[in-house]
Amino acid sequence: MDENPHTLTRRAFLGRAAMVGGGAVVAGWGVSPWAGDVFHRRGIFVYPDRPATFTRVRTTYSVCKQCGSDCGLAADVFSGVLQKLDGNPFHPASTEPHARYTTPAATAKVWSNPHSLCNRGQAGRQTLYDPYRLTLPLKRRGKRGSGSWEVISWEQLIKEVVSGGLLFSNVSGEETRHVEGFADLYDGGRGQTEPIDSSDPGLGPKTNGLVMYYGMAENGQTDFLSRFATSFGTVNLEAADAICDLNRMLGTMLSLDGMTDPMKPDLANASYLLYFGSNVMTGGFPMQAIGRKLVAAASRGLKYTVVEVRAGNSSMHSDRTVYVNPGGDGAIAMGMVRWIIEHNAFDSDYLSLPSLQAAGTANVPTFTNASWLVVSDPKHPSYGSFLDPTLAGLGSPMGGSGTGGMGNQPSAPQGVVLDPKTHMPVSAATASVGELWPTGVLSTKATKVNGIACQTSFQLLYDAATAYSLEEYAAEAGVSSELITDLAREFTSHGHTAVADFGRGPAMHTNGFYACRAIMTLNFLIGNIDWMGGYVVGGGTADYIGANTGAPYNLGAWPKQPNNQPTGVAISRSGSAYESSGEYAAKQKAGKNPYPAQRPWFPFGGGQWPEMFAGIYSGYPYQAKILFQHAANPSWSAPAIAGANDPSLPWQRLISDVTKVPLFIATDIVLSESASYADYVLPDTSYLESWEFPGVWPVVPTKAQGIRQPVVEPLTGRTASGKQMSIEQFLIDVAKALGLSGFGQNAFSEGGSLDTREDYYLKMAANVAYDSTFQAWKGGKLATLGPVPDASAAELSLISQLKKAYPQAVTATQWPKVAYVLARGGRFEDYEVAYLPNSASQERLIQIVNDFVMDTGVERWAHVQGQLTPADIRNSFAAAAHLQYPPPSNPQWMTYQYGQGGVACQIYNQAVGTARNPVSGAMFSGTARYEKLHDLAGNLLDDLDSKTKFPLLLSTHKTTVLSHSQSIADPWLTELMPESFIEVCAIDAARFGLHSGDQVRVWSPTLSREKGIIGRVRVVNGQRVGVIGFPHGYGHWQAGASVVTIDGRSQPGDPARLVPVRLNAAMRLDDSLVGSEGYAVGLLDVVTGCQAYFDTRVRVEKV
Amino acid sequence: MHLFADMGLQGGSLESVYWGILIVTYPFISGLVAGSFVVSSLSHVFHQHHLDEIAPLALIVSFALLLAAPLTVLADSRQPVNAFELFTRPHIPWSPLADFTVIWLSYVILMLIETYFAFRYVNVDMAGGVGWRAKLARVMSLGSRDASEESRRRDAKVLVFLSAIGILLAFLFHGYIGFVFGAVKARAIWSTALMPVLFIVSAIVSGIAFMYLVYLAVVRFYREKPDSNVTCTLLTWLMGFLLLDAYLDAVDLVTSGVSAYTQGPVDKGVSAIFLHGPHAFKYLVIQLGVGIVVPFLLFLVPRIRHTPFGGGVVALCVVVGVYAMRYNVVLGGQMESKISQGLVNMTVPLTGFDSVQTVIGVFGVAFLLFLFFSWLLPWRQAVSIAIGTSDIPGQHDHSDAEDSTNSKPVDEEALTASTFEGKE
Repeated sequence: MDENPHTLTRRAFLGRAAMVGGGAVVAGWGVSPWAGDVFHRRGIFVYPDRPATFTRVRTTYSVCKQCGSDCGLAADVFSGVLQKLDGNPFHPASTEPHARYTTPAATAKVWSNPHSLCNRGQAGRQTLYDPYRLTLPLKRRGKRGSGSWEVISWEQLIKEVVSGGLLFSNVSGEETRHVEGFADLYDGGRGQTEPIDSSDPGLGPKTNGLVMYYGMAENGQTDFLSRFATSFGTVNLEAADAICDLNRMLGTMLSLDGMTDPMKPDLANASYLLYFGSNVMTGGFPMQAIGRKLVAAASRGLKYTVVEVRAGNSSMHSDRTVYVNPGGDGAIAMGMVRWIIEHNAFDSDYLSLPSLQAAGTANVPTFTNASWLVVSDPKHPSYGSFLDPTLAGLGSPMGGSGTGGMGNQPSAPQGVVLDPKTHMPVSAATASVGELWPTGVLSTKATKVNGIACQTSFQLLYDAATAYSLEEYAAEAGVSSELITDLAREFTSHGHTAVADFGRGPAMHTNGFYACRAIMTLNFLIGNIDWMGGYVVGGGTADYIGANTGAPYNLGAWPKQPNNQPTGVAISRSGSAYESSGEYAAKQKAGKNPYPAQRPWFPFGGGQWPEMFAGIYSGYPYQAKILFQHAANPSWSAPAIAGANDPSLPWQRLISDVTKVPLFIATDIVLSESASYADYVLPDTSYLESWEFPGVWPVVPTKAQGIRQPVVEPLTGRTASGKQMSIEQFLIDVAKALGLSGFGQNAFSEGGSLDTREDYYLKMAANVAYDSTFQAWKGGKLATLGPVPDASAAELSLISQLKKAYPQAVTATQWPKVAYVLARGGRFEDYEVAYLPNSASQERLIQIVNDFVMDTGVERWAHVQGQLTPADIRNSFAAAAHLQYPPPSNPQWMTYQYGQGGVACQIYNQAVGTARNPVSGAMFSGTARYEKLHDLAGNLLDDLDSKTKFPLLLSTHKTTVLSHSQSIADPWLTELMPESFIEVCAIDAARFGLHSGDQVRVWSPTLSREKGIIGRVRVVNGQRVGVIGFPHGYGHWQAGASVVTIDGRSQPGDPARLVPVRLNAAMRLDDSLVGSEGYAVGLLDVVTGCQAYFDTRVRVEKV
Repeated sequence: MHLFADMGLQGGSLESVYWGILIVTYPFISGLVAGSFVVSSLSHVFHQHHLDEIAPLALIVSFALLLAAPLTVLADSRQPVNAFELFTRPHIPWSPLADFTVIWLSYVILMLIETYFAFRYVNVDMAGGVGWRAKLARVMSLGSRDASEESRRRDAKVLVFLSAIGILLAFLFHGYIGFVFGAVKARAIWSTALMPVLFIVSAIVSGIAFMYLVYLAVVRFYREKPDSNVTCTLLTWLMGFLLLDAYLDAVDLVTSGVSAYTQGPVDKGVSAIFLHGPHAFKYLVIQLGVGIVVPFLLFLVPRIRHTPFGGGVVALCVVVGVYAMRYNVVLGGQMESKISQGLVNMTVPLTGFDSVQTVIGVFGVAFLLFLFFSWLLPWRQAVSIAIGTSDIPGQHDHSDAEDSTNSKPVDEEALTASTFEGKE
């Protein structure tokens, strides 16, 4: 291998030269893309994942929707991509105490006090960027539910759904099926006057053939839907209340003025709480705020008891957990009512006050109708009604503050009470006090007034309470009578600062309405309404719809708005009494017993999905033509009639039948279990790309108006005219195609057109900005604030894109104020406004601010420019709340009082007391009472379902992991809990030989063993014996879980979404009311139509 | 427009693969550095005197690659001008990546010293001549004129010492890369304690295989015949380390590819990326098949294993397999979405930033460096001295015992021992 370099041959030289040259060329070419950068600096390179404080990271405040809490969120967006979700420091559900409203947005962006979203909220980014998001409209290619789709243009979608025709001529079996579109129903406006059923014009016009229902839509968007429904002329716009918490809602509303809901304890000042089935700190809304306030209060000495079937997070800090028999909450509450009355532990002075005027004199904020007389003669035509002054021989009723009953009724009833001294009837409006026991203490004997037998509301309540002994109540609830006594004694030992609160636990039963009434009644018995530490209504929202005088835009009215629309009876019969129906009249005319109605009617309203679907299936009271679903997923979520992929389940039978549902249009962000059956699916915007105007539950007692606004440009496609696809754009385009008023040109009374959703929602934001009802403490008094100030230049720049895109949406003078509220994610009263200024409220505020705004030590070394230290924040609260001045002496009441409305707390509700059960014809009870669990026909479930064959009761609950149908798209959540289990308590596990991990089959009286649902067992502690449960959120079979075919291309599913278990399909159907076609609904509360979730007996068997 | 909103994930606006083909190439090159250094050390430290012939060559290859290696990282960084900030800002010792520069620098210094001692005797020898080469040799010998046997023995001792340190540094150098990957908890697939060991072993494997190929190329260049002692010894060591590599790969597969034995995210990622997904072919066929199984099968055939060409095919397969391993680890590991939504897709561009072109460029630079060093450093003279005068005291006796008596037959026997015997 010896070599001498000097003896290189030419050939070798050339070879080597070529090698070196070639190497140099290749190396030079190869380094050319980057070598230049070694010598020059391109500038600052910014990596996409930036913290909020980094230059060009825009923070937008909006409202979360990962559960129903509506917490404020802060979205950090860089380069149009959402980086992170956090809590909005301005929002009272996210921050304690929330930043003062005048804080500049830039200061709030670096807020040092915790402003949080829970794990669910933070995972919302994954709902937005779900790989299975829909972005373009789809039309089915095969039969409904076949999973075969084609992508169509927006314009084709609008054209086809408006015009109808042979839309599915390519689908086998539907070649000649003519589908009626929106235009066929509307018929150039004639559809609004032509009856849908000429034999019963009371059912309303042909346009009622459009049935719209929604699940997760909230304020603002529901108003938009309502605008369309009104303009089109359909009464069928149905919310999901009945499968949500209708009994809780109506139980509250019908205990108050018929409108007010919800109420919540004032956690800052309460000293004892009795929570019935509220699942607080886990599921109860708003989860974060309750958790934060409740734990702080508990550490200050608040005592609380939870009555639950299963111990959740709430039990961790509670003084006592009562494991109640499902459906037994009402028994506990009524047992307490009985004990409290019999032991004279109620506030008799308060209950004797018959009017707001009398209450004012007595220096209390509210009054009840406990002393009002009710006609108790069953033969009297006014049986069940309040004795009015005319009937009592007192002359014509007087006006004033003595109104009671349903505030939304056209003629609110007037009351009569007996004067305790003279025992003579006096108008409730003028009396200062009324007798509770006209015939002696604890006597329920009637008294005669003007010859009419009457009882006071209080007597009727006691009458209802004595239906069972304390021992019987205890047996129903599965507790001891001593426990009921203990709870009643404790509850009545705290003055106005004890509260009984409730959630779905007591509500979602066939006896749930009365149970909720009983819990509300407990609060009335101690007179805690509106007191600091009592049961409170909160400040409500801004007048975003612009109904008040002076609002810039009245969005509830518009040019050429059709008169008297919508009219008729909803297909769910919600809000209509059977006794006013054509069917009732016809039966009476024919001399028949009008009862039972073919299907139940629900005079007290509320969204009635179960009976809406039943009505559509049965064509009762009329036939539906177009079914429009928005942000809903009944196929997965509805109990008993759905919940599993089983074609024999009622909902799937309904939706697969093109004769019963000729056209089914769904909006969704993914192809959910329900949208999978649609004829057309239109891509909707997720909550991070949408507008809504949700308030906050009165856990926050101040006025709070959140604004949900798009934090990124929607991922949905654009129409040919460049509009972003969304539910609103669909309704606008359909409305414009039909020529509906209130859409397109000249859509607003104040002028302007409605071509995109922003044309509408920015006006709504202007209404919020100009609302003049927000208040502040000024010099020891409350003063209204008027419109918000103009936004600073920096805040205006945050909405510059919006202003550029929709310059005409609001006026030039309104823009800076709109910018002010958008820059803060809504409008919020400052923390201290919750209470009337007085020494007690000031002391508590100082304590709360000191508790929550703590020095952590971090502020000494970590300080962002412009950031307030905890001390700065504390001082700003102290200064603004005038905490340094001698406190004024106001009563210890909340600023916002239910009592201000002047309507009595309803010990007896006349509207309920005079209504009838549409099945049996019996009258409902105007007071609270306890009912054993029963079906619609009144058969007791204990008699129907064998405890031997079905030894366990089925329950369900939410966890802090998944809250709703769409959460399955969030791996950050599913990684915390990849699947759900059938939870069995250790004692039952031992009884039935079950172990954690066992595969079991669950079936019920209406779900056969063969169809039984299989899942895995988890043995748990802290659950009532005899009850199995499962956490909500799992058991999907669509929504990205399974393969779908789009334009012939197969889209694989994500196996992580196809996980057990969901037992909704095992929930009991009510076979007492099966239509002739075999359609049944789940167990319902016959008073309200509310779904009973927790009353199904099941059998569990190892597989 | 896509129907599903996956364009966010696929288009890189949400998550993207930050470390591209250049960072694939970086551990590959550094693996060659470590591996080729091990080859040269086999001769110095482990008395594999069949490899004396290529030890200087291995040293040169190793050095050229060592200098070229950081170019990959520089080329990958968006602003290589900022590289000096690694030293001017307080990154060391807090940043594992910055600490790496210390290891790299130490290695460069060691290589310089080792190169000096490896070529000192030859330079001293050549310094006595005339012309520019002699002048250069005088400079390169840094004033040393001692050509005595004693000085050569001293050189050899120093080399043993330096090589021993060098091996440790090579392990640190390359094991550290494995550590840097293994320490990233946010990347489920990377986060395994096996990572440093996998990297070192595959580095040695690739280094030996690469030296085999370089050796074949060099002898081809000089129109000589490959020394079967060299090729067989290299192949034997290659197979030994490959066996270890196969074992580690098997352990890796069992502890990450079987859901019962691993954590959820690892199982999900390995299944979705390597067992069924976009890297299934690169992993199962290229990395494991071409890189491990095929070389073993080929090696079993005596006709292949005994011919330099056959051995070259085996070595090429191994090199390709190791590159695939780097590719799979670096790119595959980043394909698992950190937010658990779908897979992060990427396409390696052919030209432009972070492209195949830039990888070729780095190898081009390495090739030029190799040419330069092989011109600068008289390695062929060193080889001829080493081989021609194999009477270096202290080494000779020992090596003789192994070398002359047991030379080829032993190797043959070793290669065909027990495991393979029955199959021949």
